[in-house]
Amino acid sequence: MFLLKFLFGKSSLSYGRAPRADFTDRPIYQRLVRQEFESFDSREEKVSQTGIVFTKNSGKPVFPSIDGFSPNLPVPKRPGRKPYVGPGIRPSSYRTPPRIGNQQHQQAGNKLKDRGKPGKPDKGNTLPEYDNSRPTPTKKQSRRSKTFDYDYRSNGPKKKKQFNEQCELDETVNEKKIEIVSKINEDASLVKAAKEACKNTDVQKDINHLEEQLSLGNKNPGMGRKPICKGVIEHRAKNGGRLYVRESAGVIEILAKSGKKKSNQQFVINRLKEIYG
Amino acid sequence: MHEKKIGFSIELDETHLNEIEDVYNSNIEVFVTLQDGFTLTIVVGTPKNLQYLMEKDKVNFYGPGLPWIIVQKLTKEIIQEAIKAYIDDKPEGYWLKLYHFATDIDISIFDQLQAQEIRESAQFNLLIGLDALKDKINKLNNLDTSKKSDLVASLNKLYKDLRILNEE
Repeated sequence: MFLLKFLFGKSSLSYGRAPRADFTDRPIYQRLVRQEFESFDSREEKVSQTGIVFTKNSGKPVFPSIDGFSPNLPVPKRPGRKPYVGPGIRPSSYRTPPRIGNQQHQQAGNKLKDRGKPGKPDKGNTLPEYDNSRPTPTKKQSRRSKTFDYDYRSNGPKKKKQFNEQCELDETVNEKKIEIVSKINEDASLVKAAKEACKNTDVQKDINHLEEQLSLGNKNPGMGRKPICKGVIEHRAKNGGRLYVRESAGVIEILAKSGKKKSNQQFVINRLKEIYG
Repeated sequence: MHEKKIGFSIELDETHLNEIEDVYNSNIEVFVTLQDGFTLTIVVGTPKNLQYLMEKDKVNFYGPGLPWIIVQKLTKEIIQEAIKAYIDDKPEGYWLKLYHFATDIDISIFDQLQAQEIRESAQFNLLIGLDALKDKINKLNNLDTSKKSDLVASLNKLYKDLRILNEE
């Protein structure tokens, strides 16, 4: 009766909606409630910030109705999101932060912002901020921490590849080669020039290397490249090999080949300018 | 660009040179025409560009290939200056010909040079050996028959070797 009176009496002071207790993570919630209950002073009753009324006589908390009559409770500004109301008990609807003192959670704890004290976990009582990076898994992980990891990951933004190895793999592996077609045969003089150049085995080797690298997506496979005419690029290799290509609709067209000899090279360049403008 | 200097002229793609983004990190092809009218193709580049190319290809060294003339910065004045220094250092455009023909030199040329060096080295060792023997003989006042015959045999061997080498 006293309890009801107390509740209704307080309700006149605060008519806002009390935050509803979410018991999805009941063991944690009960532990927090117990902590608060044990910290009672001489008062016989206390209304917690979660809206639960504690009576010292019964030793059992009394939960308010859905409408709630808890005094001085903050009114949520946005429906569906419950604000953090103080340093004591956190509503269970929030994500549970990692326990700093726990060894298994130490790495996760390090992720918490502890500005000004690098390498030291935050021992203060302030609400830790979250870092969305995933804690490094350790061999000896308790069930609790596994659950935490799972929840944490599912709550955070979904990144498919978070491990470094995966990223590296993704960057280096080419799933398919770029198509290369030869158009040298379309001009007899360019064929002759290519044959002449490729008499030199070093030049031939150079050109093969350039072609291979281009097919792997390397846009600058040699020691230098320069534009010759409309879209036509000359690639130079170390031993005098020159490859003249054009990219069209994702396909690399090989237009000509030459060596470093001026007569051969200049002829090819002039011919390419004539044909491709 | 086509500048005539004493003994040679250089030609390069000036448009390409002007379009180079970083003159401290690039390389360019230069055509050098010698007095006799023959044109050599020379690569002129910067040290930074060598570093860049190794990083680009993810290698720890710049692989074998035609040698470059290394310059601090790619400008036509510096290129001209460098080519002139290479021409002046040895007559008949030796260095530039070496840079141009580096990949075309037949291995037999090196074999000849190698054999010549081996021969010269052997001749030098023989001369040193003969000198050492002469010193030993001069230091010995009283020679017995056996020692004398040993020394003569050693000298004969050395002279024989030297004769063979000269015949080759």
